[in-house]
Amino acid sequence: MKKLWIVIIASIGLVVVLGMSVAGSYNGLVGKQQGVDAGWANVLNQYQRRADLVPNLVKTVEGSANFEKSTLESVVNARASVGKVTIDPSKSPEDPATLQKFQEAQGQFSSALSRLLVVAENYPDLKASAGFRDLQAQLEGTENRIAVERGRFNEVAKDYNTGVRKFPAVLFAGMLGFHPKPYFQADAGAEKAPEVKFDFGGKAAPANGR
Amino acid sequence: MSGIRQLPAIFASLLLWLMGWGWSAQAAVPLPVSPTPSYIRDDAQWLSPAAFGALDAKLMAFERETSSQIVVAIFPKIPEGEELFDFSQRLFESWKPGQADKDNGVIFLIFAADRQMRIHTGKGMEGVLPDARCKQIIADVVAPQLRAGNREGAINAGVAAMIAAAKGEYTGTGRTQLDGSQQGDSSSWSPLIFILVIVGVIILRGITAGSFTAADIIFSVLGAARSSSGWGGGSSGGGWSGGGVGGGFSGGGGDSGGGGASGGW
Repeated sequence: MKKLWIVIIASIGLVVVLGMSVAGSYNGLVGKQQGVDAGWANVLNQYQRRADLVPNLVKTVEGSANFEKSTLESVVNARASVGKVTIDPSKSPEDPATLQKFQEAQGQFSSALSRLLVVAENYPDLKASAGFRDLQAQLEGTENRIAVERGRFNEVAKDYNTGVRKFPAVLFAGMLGFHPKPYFQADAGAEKAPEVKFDFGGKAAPANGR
Repeated sequence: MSGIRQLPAIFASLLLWLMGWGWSAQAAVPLPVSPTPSYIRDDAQWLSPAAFGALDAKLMAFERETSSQIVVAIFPKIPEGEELFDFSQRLFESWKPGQADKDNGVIFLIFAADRQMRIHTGKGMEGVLPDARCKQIIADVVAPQLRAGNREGAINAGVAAMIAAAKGEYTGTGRTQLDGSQQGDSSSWSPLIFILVIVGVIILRGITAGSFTAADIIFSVLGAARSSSGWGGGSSGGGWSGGGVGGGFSGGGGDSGGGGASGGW
């Protein structure tokens, strides 16, 4: 009889301890997930900022005499195809393929922009104009901000993913809708803010993406 | 949930752990430390002591007036294996210029041998020093003077242009972060000291007298309050009176999202 009581009390204690640890790790995951979504929103913000620069860029470049039409068109087209990739700005994607598609579209936009900046080197009047220089600074700055926010997103996503895969979260995370989040992949050339390099030392960055 | 089904999760967590190592290894290269309590780090020795002192005083006055922190960093060259922007961003994240709630910090970086510079803005400075404005300061204000060989003039003119742009955006408290942090330390420490003293006194009385009464506790608390206020008052007084003469740069916890501009000369 006494033994039975010990067993009952011990199992109640075990359930309580386990319940508390699950509740604690659940609360932790909720916080981390919000961090990931906030980081995602920041990344999209910067991508949007870059896209918003295009009308101004088009206007400035068109003002320059006989600027290469095809280069400008490819920027406008890449901008348009970026707009076609529908992605939820409030929630970071769970499907790696979704993120990859988004990243590819943005990557093409990046290389179209950098190609335009390289081509602009051949137009001294354009290069000398204050409007173009300002735009170039804004584009460079935005590329840098994208890189920073992507890095920060990967950091919080890593923290969240580690949380999801830790014990005891690994037992229930999937059931409660906490799925691992894919990372931004560093892609060679296309996303490495070639504008910045292009500005230094006078070396032209490779304009072709990959 | 069998053991076998958990295997992929275990492998995945191991992989994550390893990836974490890969990422943190990138940050393993030691960064130059913040020039605290000065606002200038002049590794390339561009500034004469007089120019250094005058600029430092100017930047300190600027923080007192606006709470914004502008820091100047002159390096001989971009460190080996580093890229200008990444290095600047990491330096900003390490030195943390600007107040934590305003992010109103700026680092003005010069890399002498590379003939490159960068104005790296905190998030709260992007309004008054947008990227295009930074580029203008670099290309129109600083670079011409550097090409003419006037280093001190170039740095001073660049800082003056940033101050002119940033003036009026934020209001300062008349103190620098360094005064502020001394003040903050004493006020956050004194309650702890207070409690420790009370506990200490109670225990000591308990040991020496064997037992203690309510009167003992009241006396000990009063005594502790007196000694604690002596402590707190002493150190905070030092912080305040130091405000006029001392002070200086200490990162206020500002963040940067990578704003600013770079350029050569």
